[in-house]
Formats: sequence, C-alpha cells, structure tokens
Amino acid sequence: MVKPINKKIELTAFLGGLSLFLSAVEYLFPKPVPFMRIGFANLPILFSLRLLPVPYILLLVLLKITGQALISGTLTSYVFLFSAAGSFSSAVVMISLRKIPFRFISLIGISIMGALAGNIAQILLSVKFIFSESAWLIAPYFLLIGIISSFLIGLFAQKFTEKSKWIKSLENRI
Amino acid sequence: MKLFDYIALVITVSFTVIVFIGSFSVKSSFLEVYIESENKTWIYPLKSFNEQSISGPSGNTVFVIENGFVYIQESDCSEKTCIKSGKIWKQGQWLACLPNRVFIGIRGNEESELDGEAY
Repeated sequence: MVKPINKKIELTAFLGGLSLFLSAVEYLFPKPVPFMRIGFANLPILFSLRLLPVPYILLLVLLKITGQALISGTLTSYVFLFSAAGSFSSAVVMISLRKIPFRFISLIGISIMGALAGNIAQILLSVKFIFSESAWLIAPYFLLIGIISSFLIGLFAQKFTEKSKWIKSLENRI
Repeated sequence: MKLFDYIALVITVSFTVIVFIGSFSVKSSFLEVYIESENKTWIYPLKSFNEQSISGPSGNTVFVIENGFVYIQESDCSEKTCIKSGKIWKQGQWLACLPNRVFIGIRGNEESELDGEAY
C-alpha cells in the first residue's frame, strides 16, 4: 500500500518550483540598479495565502528565497540575509491580512502591503549594517519600484485567482 | 480593486513621499559649516544648532546655525552687509564680515563622507 503524499506538501513543492522558475524569468529583465527586483517569485506566495495553512506558507517562503539565491548566486552572501528578512517580513504582513474578507481586500492590497513591509525591512537593514544614512537617499526610488511591481503582480494574481479553474479545484480539495 | 486596496496604496505612496522628503535632511547632515576668524577656526555640522559670538578687530560678530541654515545675527561692523546677506544652506555658499575678519562657509559633500574620512 502506498500512502498518498499529503496534498499540502505537494502544492507547497509545486509552488516552490514555480517560484524558482519565476526567479529565473526575472533575469530576462534589465536591472539598472542591483537591488531593484521585480518580484515575480512572490506570485506563488500570493496564491498560497488562501490555499495553504500558515506553516506551509512559511515553508514556501523559505523555498522561494532559497530558489532566488540559487539563481542569482547569492546563497552564501550577506544579501541572502537581507532577502530572507525582507521576504519573511513581507510574508508575516500578508499572512496577517489574508483573513480579511474578500469584500474589503483583494490580492492587490495584500501584495502592496507585503512589498512595503519587505522593502522597509531591507532598507532598515541596509541603513544599519551596510550604507548608513545615505541608504535613505535611494530608498524612495526603491519603494516606488516596489509599489508599481507589487501592484501589477497583485493585479495578475487576483485576476488569475478569479478566473482559474485550476485554483478553484485546489480550493476545494485542500 | 477593493476598499483596503486603495487604503494600502495610499499608505504606501504616502510613506514613500515622506521618505523622499526626509532624504533631503540626510544630505545636510554631511555638510559642515567652516568658520574662520583672525586667529581661530571652527567647524560645525550643518545639522547642528549653534549660536556663537566671534570677536574681531571691529567688535563681535554673532552667527547662528539652525534648521540647516547659517546666518549672521549681529555684527559690530559699520556696513552690516554680512547680516543683509541673509541665510546660507548649501555647499559653496558663504558669508563674510570683512571689517571683522570673519569668514563663514559651507563645505563638504556626500562623496567624501561615504569614502570614510578619518580625523
């Protein structure tokens, strides 16, 4: 008798793999400034908010940052810690917001707030440990790119969740 | 787009604007006020608050550093052009009371600070 694999683990692994793929896709886009990431890899996390329980969401975040670090070759550098802090701060905020009824908030708002939290965490860390006060000079542009990209990614996630039969089937099964 | 989406957008944009405005004060924290009198020199950060009287051949010149501005408040010279010059706040600007041999200038820039000058 073969025990069926836990559906939640399956989904987490799938979304983690999707996150890895999307991290590679990010490399298609030119980056004028190193720290300004578009954040495609956050898309699976947005999907997971209403599909998986909290421990699995955090596991997915771990998969996401590991995937991003493997793709960009920063796994053993301090940048990885920045990425971890940013992604987990972002996840905590998004998890707190996910229980708000759909009437009031969609994935767009969750994405924007998550991005804000993650970016603030990264800015604070870079002011404290790497650049000192001058990091604040680049902070507004960093935040602005974050707003635009998180809005677009949130918009896509929301529309996709509304229209996708695949997501509907997952919502019913898990 | 739902209600909280707009709220989230407003919060995020206002925060960005606040940080943008706040970043201007960061620039002034690297600038310094350089004051020279006949026989002494002083250096103060532009970000500090200071009121000091300098004595010279014609009497006393009082300068003030506050809110990122420097200006001469009083002076014992006859023309008082130094007071009429008003406030300075940017690198490169200067004030001077020639009869009293007082010179005040703002210098320093972000690049040299980032490279880590050690005194």
